[in-house]
Amino acid sequence: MSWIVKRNRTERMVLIALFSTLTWIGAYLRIDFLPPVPFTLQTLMVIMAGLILGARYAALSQGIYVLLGLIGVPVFTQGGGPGYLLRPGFGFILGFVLAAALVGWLGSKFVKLSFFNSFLLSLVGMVAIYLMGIPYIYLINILVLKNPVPLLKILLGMIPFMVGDVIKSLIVAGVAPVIVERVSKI
Amino acid sequence: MNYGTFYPTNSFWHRRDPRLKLLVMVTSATLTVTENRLSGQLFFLLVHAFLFYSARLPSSRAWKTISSFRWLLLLTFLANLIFVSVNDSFLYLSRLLNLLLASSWLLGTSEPLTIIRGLELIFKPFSRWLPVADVAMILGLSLSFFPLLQQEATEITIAQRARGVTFEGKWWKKITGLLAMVVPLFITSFRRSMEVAQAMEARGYIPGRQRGSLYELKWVSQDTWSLLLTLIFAVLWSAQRMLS
Repeated sequence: MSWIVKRNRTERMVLIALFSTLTWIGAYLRIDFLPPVPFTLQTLMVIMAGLILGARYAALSQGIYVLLGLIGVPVFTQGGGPGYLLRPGFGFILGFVLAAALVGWLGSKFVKLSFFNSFLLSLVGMVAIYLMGIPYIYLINILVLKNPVPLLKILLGMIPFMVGDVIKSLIVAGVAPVIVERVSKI
Repeated sequence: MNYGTFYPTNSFWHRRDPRLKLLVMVTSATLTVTENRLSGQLFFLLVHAFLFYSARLPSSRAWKTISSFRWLLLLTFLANLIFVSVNDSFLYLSRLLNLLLASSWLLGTSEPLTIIRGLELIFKPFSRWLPVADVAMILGLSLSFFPLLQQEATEITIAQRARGVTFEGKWWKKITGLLAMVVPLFITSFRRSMEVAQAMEARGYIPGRQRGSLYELKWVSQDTWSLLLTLIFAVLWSAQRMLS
């Protein structure tokens, strides 16, 4: 966290751009180990953005990622364009902004990043993503259907994904301290 | 660089200013979302078909966009058909189709970089409150980072394979393989970005200072006329909707 403070404005801008691109690349780095749940490295990138850039710049980097997608660059897992606003899953992408900000804010409170710390931070990030994702599904519901599906049913349908995310958080916790330490030496 | 959404050709709409096209799209989206009559939505479908035709975009592009949203479209249609009414199912379906066609038209006629430039100029009056120029710069940087990182990722994969890391097999092997790539990817891309920042400053880039553009956008009289026609259409349409 103190690392980013020492960078000048141009360097910060380049790093913000780098993290938007890393989230973009993350969408392509995927493996399917629990078949219905896609495992991409996007959440890792979002959490790393929070840890390295701090709340404000991390949120900006993810906001820029969303903006890139909306102007038609295929940065999302299924392409891009303003049409993506209509996809029920778009809320999870908006959740990246909130997650990066929250992780950045909470992460700045820790002096040293341990496995346990990063696991907790990662879980907070995942919760933030659902916090935006689930209401968005509900919103799209109202837009396209006259009788929307109740919020609770949507929440229940998310349970298998949540299990996948806890496993993901463990993996994030394993790498995050390593990356933060190595990067702070650059 | 082409990202697959832009369709390079020379048409009336390809020559227009991206600011105009953004405004046309926002107007069309607003009218579409607020239109609650099926007849109105069907008329908009005709308008969008005309936009597509006059932009010389092949109809296969429209189909591609539509087919990538087929599940949402199908679900919307069927759920409304079963639970509500035939009229509503067509209304909601055509509303979605209209929004998709409008966005596909904008992206087919304008390159991402010109859209960024257009947005930058539209939001310029707000630059006292928003870091408009910085955001535009970051968007452009991010676009040019992508091929660089992609290449980096490929090289790291090959290097790690040579060290005996496998990317196939059981799921934990896939995960460790992926992680063996991520850590070096972070380190090299950070080094690269520091170099990019240095290179920018060495070439006289000062954040926040007024910057020129290699290809300045030119707003010509045809843009003004198109914008006026769009606005007149929007006003007339809203008026007749209020009266009916």
